[in-house]
Amino acid sequence: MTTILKVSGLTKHFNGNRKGFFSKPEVVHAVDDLNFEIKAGEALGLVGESGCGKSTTGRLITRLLTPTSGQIEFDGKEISNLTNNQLKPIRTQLQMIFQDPYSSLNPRHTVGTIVATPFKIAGIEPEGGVKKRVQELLEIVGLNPEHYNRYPHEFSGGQRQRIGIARALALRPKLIVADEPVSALDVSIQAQIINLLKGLQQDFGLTFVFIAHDLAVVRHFAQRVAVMYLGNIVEIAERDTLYSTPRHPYTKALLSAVPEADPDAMGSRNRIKLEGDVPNPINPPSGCRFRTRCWKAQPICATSKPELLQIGASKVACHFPE
Amino acid sequence: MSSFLEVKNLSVNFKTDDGVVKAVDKLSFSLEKGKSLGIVGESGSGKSVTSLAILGLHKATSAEVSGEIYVGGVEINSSSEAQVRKLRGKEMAMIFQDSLTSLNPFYTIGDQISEAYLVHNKVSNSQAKLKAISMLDRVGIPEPQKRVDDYPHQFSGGMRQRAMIAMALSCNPNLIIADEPTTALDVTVQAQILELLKDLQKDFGTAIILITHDLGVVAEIADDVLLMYAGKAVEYGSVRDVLKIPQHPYGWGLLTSIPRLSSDPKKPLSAISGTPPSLISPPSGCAFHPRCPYASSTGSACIEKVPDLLPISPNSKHLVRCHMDADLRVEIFNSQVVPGL
Repeated sequence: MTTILKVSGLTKHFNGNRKGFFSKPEVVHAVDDLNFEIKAGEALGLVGESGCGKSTTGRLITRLLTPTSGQIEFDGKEISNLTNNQLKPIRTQLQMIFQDPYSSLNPRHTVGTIVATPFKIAGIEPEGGVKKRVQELLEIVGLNPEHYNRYPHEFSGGQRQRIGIARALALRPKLIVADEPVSALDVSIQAQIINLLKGLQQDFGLTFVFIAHDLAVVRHFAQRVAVMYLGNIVEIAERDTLYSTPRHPYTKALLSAVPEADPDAMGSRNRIKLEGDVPNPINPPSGCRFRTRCWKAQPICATSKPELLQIGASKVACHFPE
Repeated sequence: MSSFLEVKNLSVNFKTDDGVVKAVDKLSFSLEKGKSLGIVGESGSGKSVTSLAILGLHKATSAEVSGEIYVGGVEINSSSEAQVRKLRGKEMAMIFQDSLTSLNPFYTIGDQISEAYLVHNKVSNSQAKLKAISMLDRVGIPEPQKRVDDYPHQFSGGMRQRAMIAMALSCNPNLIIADEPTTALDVTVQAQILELLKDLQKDFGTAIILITHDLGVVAEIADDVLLMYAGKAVEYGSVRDVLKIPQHPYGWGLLTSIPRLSSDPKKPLSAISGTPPSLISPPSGCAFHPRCPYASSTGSACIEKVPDLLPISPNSKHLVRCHMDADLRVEIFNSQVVPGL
């Protein structure tokens, strides 16, 4: 399998508030020094809690944001510093599915217009005409092609998410970044959308970056999973390896915190309770960023930042991995 | 009246331009002190409307509430606004989902916690503040003497939810309604808050109604579970009954459709087809029949007649609203649902 996306040293800092008129703005360290690769046809899951930088990573990959430093190599081409004009041909191959199916569709446009917009922007005339292609797309995502002229408010949340998926598929992209595609949906609808995305991945050989906070959802979608904490990747491994033998203390705690829908499961599991909240990314802790909540922290964790190193089948950034 | 909370035949209708929305339809349940009830359902199933009715918070101009709600022996629905107001905060309190919008950004956390305490107790402002500090301490806020003067924006999401819990508990109520208390939180913080709720319930002997769509959270905290669909209870029983041996096809669908850490990730999830129904013109008969894979097994009963909420066997406390024969349900559960769990 060929590598479709290679990210090295990817960093994004946002300027925050100024304390005084002449002082320098505070810097939010949203994403710091990410390194990972995605193979063609693979689904990589990005998990972590709010503020860990998973959405920023998704937006950097699709170049909706410009990185502060670092490289993004997509399909053999360096795209981290391209201008909007230079990006245009690449955007046809790099699409995004958004979290909120309510705010990500223009309420004044019909479904037909929404799904046809990518063709218009890219200046592509599909074979057989735009309308025919749009109706095909609606059918692929499980919507009635006759609903072409309806408006988003006439659809339920799950159906709207399908419209967003049809739009992302329109230009036959190679890589799709799905940012929390099911978290706004009802439980009984989530499974429908996960199955749909999985089917699309197989049918079209798509590569996915699947961003979610729900570890069980990611486990059902991604073949490889990266766990993020406060702008860093702390562990990255094949799905089965990560879920059966988590090596980073944070991964372990995260997995143990997921409530299971089984009243008998509680006694049998050892829940690791993390104290406190995620620290402020304006002023992240020195050394290992997880050390303030980690039960294994030693003096070295405050002074030196652990590298993401190969341990067994996983890559882990920890001084004292499991 | 044995139970602390007793809800009988509660119905809530909203009149809209498009027709009457039957948000809650003849709902009955009860809850003892010191116990927790989980009300589970998807959006629009009537869970939040039920909780607002118990607190007497529906406006008479927009909602039609019928049925009886007894809280500690007092019937809420026929009481005057002033009478219900005396109970609110003191006998029953609510924890809302979104702590950022539920707290007033212009008042300090301490002011907001002492407010309810001042209304129901004859104490001075400084005594109320001491109470606020001790409550913040109890819910695990570090340095409560200092943080009591903070504004909501200075708290993190988890801390704000703790402050909301402190506020709800300040008058030592006998009933707490928690509407999706952990949905807006991260998993590690959610675990902390659930732990705290369980702990406080032990100390204060409070009855808790937990409204959620997350079956994992219910399994963790609830003694009883009420499963709602389109405004009706479809299944009601102990947490073991409803989550381990569910008898309603909707419960089966929910349990098999959620991705679990223990299930085989290579198998596709068994999704419930279709979408939740409109409450203005709900489907005829059983509201779940258009999405139910077993609706044809009863002939036309599911389409024509609304099933009753009945015990699964005589004298059982496990109630289910389904036309299917009990034996057939057990057979389907064992042969088709258990393998998917």
